[in-house]
Amino acid sequence: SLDFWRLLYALLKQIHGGEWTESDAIDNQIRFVKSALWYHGYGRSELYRLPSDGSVGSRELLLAFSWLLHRLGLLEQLLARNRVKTGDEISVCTCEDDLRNNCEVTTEIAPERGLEDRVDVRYLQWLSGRLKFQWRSLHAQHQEQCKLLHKIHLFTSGSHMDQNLGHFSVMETDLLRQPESYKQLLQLLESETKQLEAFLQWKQLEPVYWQWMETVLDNMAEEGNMCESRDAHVEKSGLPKATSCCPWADSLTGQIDRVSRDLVTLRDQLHKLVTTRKTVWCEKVKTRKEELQKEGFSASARKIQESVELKLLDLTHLCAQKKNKMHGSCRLVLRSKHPASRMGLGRAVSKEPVSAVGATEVIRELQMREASLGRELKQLQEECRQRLDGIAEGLDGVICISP
Amino acid sequence: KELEELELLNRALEKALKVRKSILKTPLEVQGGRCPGTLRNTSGKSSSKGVACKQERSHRTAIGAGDREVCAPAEPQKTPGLSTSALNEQQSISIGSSAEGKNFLAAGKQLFDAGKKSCGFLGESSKKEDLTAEGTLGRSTSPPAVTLQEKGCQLKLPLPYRKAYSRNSRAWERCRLCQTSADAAAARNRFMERIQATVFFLSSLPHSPAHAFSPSEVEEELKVLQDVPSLLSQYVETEPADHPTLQREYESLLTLEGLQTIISQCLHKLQLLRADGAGDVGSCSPACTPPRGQVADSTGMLAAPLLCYSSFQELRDLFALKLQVSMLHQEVALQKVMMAELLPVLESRLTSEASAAQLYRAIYTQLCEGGRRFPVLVRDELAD
Repeated sequence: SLDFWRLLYALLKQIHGGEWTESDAIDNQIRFVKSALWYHGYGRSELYRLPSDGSVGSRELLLAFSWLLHRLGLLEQLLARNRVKTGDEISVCTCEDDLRNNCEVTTEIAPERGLEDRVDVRYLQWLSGRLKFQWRSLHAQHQEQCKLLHKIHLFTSGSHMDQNLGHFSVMETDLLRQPESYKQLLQLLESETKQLEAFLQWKQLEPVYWQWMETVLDNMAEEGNMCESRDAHVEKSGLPKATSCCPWADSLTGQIDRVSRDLVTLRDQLHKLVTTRKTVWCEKVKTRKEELQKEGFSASARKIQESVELKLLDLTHLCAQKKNKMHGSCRLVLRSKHPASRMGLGRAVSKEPVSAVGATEVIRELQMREASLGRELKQLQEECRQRLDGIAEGLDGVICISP
Repeated sequence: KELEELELLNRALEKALKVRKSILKTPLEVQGGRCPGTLRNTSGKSSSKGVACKQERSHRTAIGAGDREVCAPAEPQKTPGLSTSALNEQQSISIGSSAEGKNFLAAGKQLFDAGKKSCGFLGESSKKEDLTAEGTLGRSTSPPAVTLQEKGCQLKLPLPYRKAYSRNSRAWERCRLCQTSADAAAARNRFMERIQATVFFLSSLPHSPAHAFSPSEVEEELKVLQDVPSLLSQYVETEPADHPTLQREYESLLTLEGLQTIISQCLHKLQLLRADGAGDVGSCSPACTPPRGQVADSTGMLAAPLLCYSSFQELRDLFALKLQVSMLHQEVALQKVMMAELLPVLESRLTSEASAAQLYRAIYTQLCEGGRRFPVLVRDELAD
C-alpha cells in the first residue's frame, strides 16, 4: 500500500499543480494526500485514520482512488493538464494568484524583532521600489511578447492544416526554423496520442472496473457487519474539529467576512436609495393617477417588469455562476470577428469550435477582478490611514498633513 | 525566470526573421550558376506562374480542407529532413488549390524541381504582392529579403509532423466524444452512493444535513462571490438619479429592487458557506493545506482549450490586465503583512525621538499611499 500512497500523491500533486519529487518523505506524502482528499470532500473517516507510515490500508486507498476517479475526472484532468504545449498559452483564470496569496497570508507572522535595530525602513522602501520596477519591466516584456505572438499568428494565418486554428503556434513556427527540435515535438505528440488511445481503451473496460469496485464494497460491508458495534463509539468521537487551528478555515472566514461586509454596506446603501425613490415615485403616481390610467400604464408596466427581469437574470447567473469558467492555460488563437477577414480567407463563421473562450469575456472578468482587488486595497489603505492618524496624535510637536 | 524566458523568446524570434533574410539572399545571388539542368520552368511559364499565384490567392476563399490533400502529392518530393528551412518555404509555395487545379499543381511541381530559379522568381513576385493584411504592421526591409510576413501564409509544416498532428487531434476528438457506457455509469453511481452512505457525520444531531459544499466547492463559490460587490455597485452607479419619464423611473426602481434581492441571495449563500467551512472534517493538517485545484467538470475537459482574440489591442489588454490583477493580488497581500508588522512598531514606540517622525512618514507612505506620495510633516512650533 506504500506504492498506492505514492501513486495517489503523484496524481494529486499533478492535479494541484505542484511540483512533485519522489524524494518527499512518505509521511509528508501521506499527509498531502489526506488533506487533498479532505479538500475535495472525501468523507470516509477510515482513510484519515490510516497510519502515516503507509503500511496498511490498500483497500481504503482503492476506494479513495475510485472515488477520485469519478469525482475529479482524474483521467480527463490529467490528460488536459498534460497537453503538449504550443508556446502561445496564457492562463485564463487567476487561480495561481489566489494560491500564492493563501500561502502568504497563512504563514505565521514572524515574532517582532526590534525593527529599528535590524532593518531600516528605507530598505523596505528600496525593496518596494525594486519590486515596482520589476513589475514594469515584466509588463514591457509581456507587451513585446504580445507583439511577436500577434505577428506570428497574423502572418501564418491560412497555413495551418487545422482550419479551426488557422495559424501556426510559436512551437510550430519554431519548427520551421529549427528542424532538429521537431523530432522532440513529434515524440511528444505521439506519446500523447498513445495516452489518448489508452484512455479510449479504459473507457471500454470501465463497466468491469466499477462492478469490481462494488464487490469490494460488498466484501467490506460483510466484514464491517461483524465489527460494527465495536467501532460505533469510536466513529462518533473520531475526528476532531480543527476550526481553531486550521489556517485555511481562518483565511476563508476572513474572505467570507469581507465579502459579507461589502454586500451589507451595499445593501444598506441600496435600501436608502430605494426607499427615497419609492416615496417620490408613489407621490408622483398619486398625483397623476387618472392620467396614467388613460395612457394604459399598467400594460406598459408589465412589459417593463419583464424586461427588467431579463436584465437581472443575466446578473443573477453571473453571481451564482457554476463551474463553466475555464481554468488553466488556454492557447491563444487569432480569429477575426468579421466573416470575410482582411486577408480574404473567408472562413465560415458558423464553424465554431467546441470550447473557445472569447478574449472579450476574459477581459471583462479580469476587469471585475481588478476592480474588486482595487477596492480591497483602498479599504486596507483607509484603515491604515485611520490608525496612523490615531498614532499621529501621540506624536509630540508634529502635525501630519496628508497628501 | 519568466523574464528570462520572454527575453529568450523575443531574441530567438528576432533572430529567426534575420536568419531567414540572410539565407534567402544567397540563393538569389547564385541563381544564375546553379542547377541549370533541373530547370523545367522556362521564362515563358514564369508569367503564368505569376498569374497563377495571384489567382491562387484570390481563390483562397474556395480553399477548404482540400488544402491538405492537394499538397500531399507535391510533398513527397521534399526531403524528409528540412535542409534549409528557408529554401523549403520557397519550395512549399506549391500549395493552394484553385479552380485551375491541375494546371497550377503542375506548375507547383515544377516549382519544386526548379529549385533556385523559382526561388528567385517567387521571391520577387511575393515581394510585389502583399500577402499580409494591409501591411499595417510594417513592411519588411530591403527587396531581396523575405520575411515571415510575406511568406507566412504559405508555410507548410513537415509531413511527419502533420501526420502526427492529425492523428493526435483525431484521438482528442474521439476521446472527447466518447461516452461512458450505461452499465459503467450505473455501476459507478451505485458505487458512489454506497461510499457516501458509509460516511458518518460528526454532528450529534440525527438529522444533520450532509455538507452542502466540500472545501473545494466552498472556495469555488467564494471565488465567484468575491467579485459580486464590485459588479453590483457598478450596476447601482449606472442607474441615473433623474429620469425623464415615469416609465424610466419605474424601470430604474425595479432594477434597484432586483439588485436588492440578488444581494440578499448572495448573503444567504455566504452564510451557508460559512457554516460549512467552519465545522468540517478536521483532518486537514494545519501545516499543509492543499492549494486550490480546479473542480472538475469532466464533460468539457477534453475539448481543446482555445482563447480567441480578434485584434492586437485585445491581446495586449489581456496580458496587461492579467499582470495588473497579479500585481494587485500581491499588493494586497503585502499590505496586510506590512500592516501587521509595521503598525505595531509605531504604536509601541510613541517616544518623541528625532527619527520617530521620519519613521512615521515613511510608514505612512508605504501603507497608505502605496509608496507613491508622501505626507507633509510640519513641526508644531506654536505649542504652548
